[in-house]
Amino acid sequence: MIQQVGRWLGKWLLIFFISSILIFYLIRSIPASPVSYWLSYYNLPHTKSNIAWVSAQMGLDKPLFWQYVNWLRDFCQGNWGYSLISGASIKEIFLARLPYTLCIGLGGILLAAIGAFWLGYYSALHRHGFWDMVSSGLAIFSQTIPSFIIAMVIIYYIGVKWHLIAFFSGNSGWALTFAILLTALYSLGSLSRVVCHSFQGEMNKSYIRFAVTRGFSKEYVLRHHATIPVLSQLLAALIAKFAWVFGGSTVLEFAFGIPGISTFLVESLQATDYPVLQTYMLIVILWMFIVHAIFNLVLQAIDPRRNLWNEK
Amino acid sequence: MMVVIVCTPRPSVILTDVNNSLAAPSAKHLLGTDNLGRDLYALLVIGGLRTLEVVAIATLISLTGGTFLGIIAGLSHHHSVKQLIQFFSDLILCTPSFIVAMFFSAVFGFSPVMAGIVFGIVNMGEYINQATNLTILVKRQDFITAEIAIGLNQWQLIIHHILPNIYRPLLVFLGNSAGNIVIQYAGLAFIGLGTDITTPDWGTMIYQYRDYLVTDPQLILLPTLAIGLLSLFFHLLFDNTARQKEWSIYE
Repeated sequence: MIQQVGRWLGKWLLIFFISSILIFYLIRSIPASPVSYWLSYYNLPHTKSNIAWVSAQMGLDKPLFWQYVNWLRDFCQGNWGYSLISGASIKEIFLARLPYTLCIGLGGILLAAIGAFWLGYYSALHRHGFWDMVSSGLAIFSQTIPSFIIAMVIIYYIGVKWHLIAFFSGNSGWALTFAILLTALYSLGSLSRVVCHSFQGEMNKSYIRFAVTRGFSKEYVLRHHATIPVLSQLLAALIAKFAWVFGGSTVLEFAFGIPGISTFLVESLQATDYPVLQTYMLIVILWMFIVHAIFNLVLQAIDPRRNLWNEK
Repeated sequence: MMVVIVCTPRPSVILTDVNNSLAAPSAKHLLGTDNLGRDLYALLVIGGLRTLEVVAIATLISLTGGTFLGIIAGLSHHHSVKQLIQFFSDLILCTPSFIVAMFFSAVFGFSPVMAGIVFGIVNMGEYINQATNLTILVKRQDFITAEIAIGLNQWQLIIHHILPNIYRPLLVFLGNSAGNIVIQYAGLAFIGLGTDITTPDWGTMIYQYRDYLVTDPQLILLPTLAIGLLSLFFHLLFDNTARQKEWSIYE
């Protein structure tokens, strides 16, 4: 057991290192450079001596290998560096913006998980019934209409036309609420189909059938006995969704004007702010590691028969 | 039908005709014009062609690469080869595809080819897993053991026996991921890393016309419908969910 956990940890450490190398060299190969962006920003001429001076200030004149080593060492010690363009501490900016993004992602997915469990339960009880149609319809809807359209419609009707909420006035409470609701809506469809199939699979198993023949109602049996295997499948499906916490919230943050980490990323991409981009990607990898670790622990607690440290 | 649409002559995309702005559909402008008089039909078609380009490149890369690697991982006798391929697919699966696509757009500029390559590589992870599992299932069957005993070589085994038996579920997954790629590409263009309206993408169009949401909703509605229909088309393309008659005590 300890060996398996150790091997699993070693695998993630390897993922971390290989990703860091790939990220570093990929970002450094961006054609634009923060040096020219900085010079243009301050209206300075792009002369050779200017470029050399700014590069030295930004620490970009050292060999790439040493820049990589220094960056990785600082990151592991908790010093995440400073933005090349604004000079602000990256850690402060990230910690200020991360709650918004995590709120949208985590809140949306958890809401979707709770809703999907019950929606899947009711659609499994009555095949081709009303809830089954709702769940299939939602799944198709979330795969055909992009979310930013609905975001724009919401902003227009609730914000502009009916003057109920001022979305862009700096108080992001309502914007966050709607972003969470939209994320939940979009994950609800596919998650509920997973739950529905899982319940239907359990319904055909012998222990459920025997309980029903003995007179217990289908609803009671499914809710009390089939919950654990279904929950394991739902949680496994959720892990994949968590990779979307960072990516999927980008569009909604952009549409609602929420000061999350993804909008900051887009700005830094345009300025090719190396430290910000590198640190951001490493945070994403770190996040996935945390998610996988927590899920393995939770799944182990729910279903001790499964040995997850050997699997992915 | 796609071929017909592509081949019929259409007005130029860049040509603006401000006198005719926001016109209703007519013989000259099949779906009307936008706020500066550009023909909406031409914009939609070019956007569609770019989206199809992205989907084609992405599915080609992920299907061939993923299936190939998955089959190798399933058939290989060396544990280290399996480990390496599994590790590679783990690496791909744990990175969020949208962020990677944004990064690559910044590095190499925003183009359908680049977006296609990125989406293709990022979606390969799931293909590798599915192909590996399916190959292992097929490999265990008795007829494979018999064939190997007779002396069938590895390549013939793959082409004549493994591939025909595993391609169906992979195609279903292809349909689903193609639909998702359409939407992700639209999202990428919407964020503004896309180019301007003269190289139209459906996402760019929605971003450009968002001011006209209520006054002239057709400007937003048409690209939305196009995205929705194309995505639905891909989802249903390989959707052969045969409703098996499950006998049970419930019905």
